[in-house]
Amino acid sequence: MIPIAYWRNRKLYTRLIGSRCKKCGAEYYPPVKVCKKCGSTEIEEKEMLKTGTIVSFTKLTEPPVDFKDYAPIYLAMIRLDNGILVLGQLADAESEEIKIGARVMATIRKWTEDGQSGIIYYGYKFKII
Amino acid sequence: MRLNSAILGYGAYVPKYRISTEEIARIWFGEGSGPNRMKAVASYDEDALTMAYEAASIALKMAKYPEIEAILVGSESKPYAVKPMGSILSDIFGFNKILGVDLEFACKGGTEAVQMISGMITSGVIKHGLAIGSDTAQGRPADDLEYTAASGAGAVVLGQPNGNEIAKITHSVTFVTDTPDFWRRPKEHYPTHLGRFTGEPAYFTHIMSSVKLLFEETGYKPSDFNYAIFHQPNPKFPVEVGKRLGFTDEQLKPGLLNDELGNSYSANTLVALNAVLDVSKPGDKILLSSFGSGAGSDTFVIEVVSKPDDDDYIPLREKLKKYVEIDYATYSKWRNKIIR
Ligand SMILES: [Zn+2]
Repeated sequence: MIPIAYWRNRKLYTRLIGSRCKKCGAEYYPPVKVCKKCGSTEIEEKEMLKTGTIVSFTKLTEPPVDFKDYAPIYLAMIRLDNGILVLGQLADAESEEIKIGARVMATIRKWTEDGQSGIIYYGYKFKII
Repeated sequence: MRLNSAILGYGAYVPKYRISTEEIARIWFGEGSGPNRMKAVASYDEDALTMAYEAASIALKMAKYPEIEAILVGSESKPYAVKPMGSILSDIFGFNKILGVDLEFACKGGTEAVQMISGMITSGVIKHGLAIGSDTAQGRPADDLEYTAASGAGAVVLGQPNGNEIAKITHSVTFVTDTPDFWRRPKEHYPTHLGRFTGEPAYFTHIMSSVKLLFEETGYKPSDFNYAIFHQPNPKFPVEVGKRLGFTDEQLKPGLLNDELGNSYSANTLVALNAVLDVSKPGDKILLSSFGSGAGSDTFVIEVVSKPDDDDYIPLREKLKKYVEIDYATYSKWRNKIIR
């Protein structure tokens, strides 16, 4: 990861800050500049709900290089309770409890780190509740 | 010192994973076990910051998210040697007009945070603060400390008493000396300790001194308290120090967690406080005394005012029923004990 890009997006990664259209109320994550539904540019920051349901998931036994030491990792599509679809890792997940329809809650975990001397990248992951 | 602060929310986080001390003994000695049955182990993607976040989230929700003006985090296992967790948490929780800093005093960093924020509230400098103790404690492989050095976090949201708080903190005393019972030099991965020296001149002397000083200042005696919490480096010490000071097993038992969780250092007494607040009733009095090697002890008088108002809250001992045991190999990988 790139420290400056992470810093710019830290609210997205740690607080799930997306956006909401002031005109029609549509919500987005990741945030948008223009509403895809009504075309309005009157957009405000909106923190997403932190609870949701697993819609789909996969197990990565050979994840990308930044996550290599943590294999296997589970990636899931989560339908948040405000309707938004988010992709995220599952934390503390035992394979037998990972199911479509399982309830999850967002928490913060270490995503990866730039070696021993670099930045630690924290961000959301989902825990099965 | 007299204090006038209130606990508006509390929370504790214990990671999902445990290792048994039989498993640790199997690797190093072939048989036997430690003084405790198990200890809590943070997962590979957890550290003192993520656990502090978990505990603080529970406490902030219970307190209904007041505007926090100070976040102090006690820890001896900060993820960054330089760069405070207080700053990272201020951004995560969205409180940027804040004093955000970390404290270290071996196992008593967490209670120092409670004491300092209570002081700022008592003096009127701030209205609300968040005090956290969080550690992924490391014991050198095969060292006695490896049986107990555990992970966990405890947090309290503090504010001004208004009659609706969960509890009031009315008094605190600290006793500190230079006692070389346990330390860690810069860049060392594991702490060093003087074995048996950690008992009499360190743990017992400091806790007993600070409790006795508090009794002198306040006029309280052991029978004035419904519960007593003493730092728990192992299952035996808190029971022994309680007995020496004149407390009964009934006063101690609700807070005793070392046998199943080990010693989560800066989080130790704050996690125990969570367990006690879960069962205490309005009007109860709690004595809490921490110990930090080096050495010192903070003792507090806590008066319970009301039960928490949070429908989603799950009591700590309920959450502890669900855990997963891991073996020494997994523990070694997760806690960075494998050389590559
Ligand atoms: Zn719109």
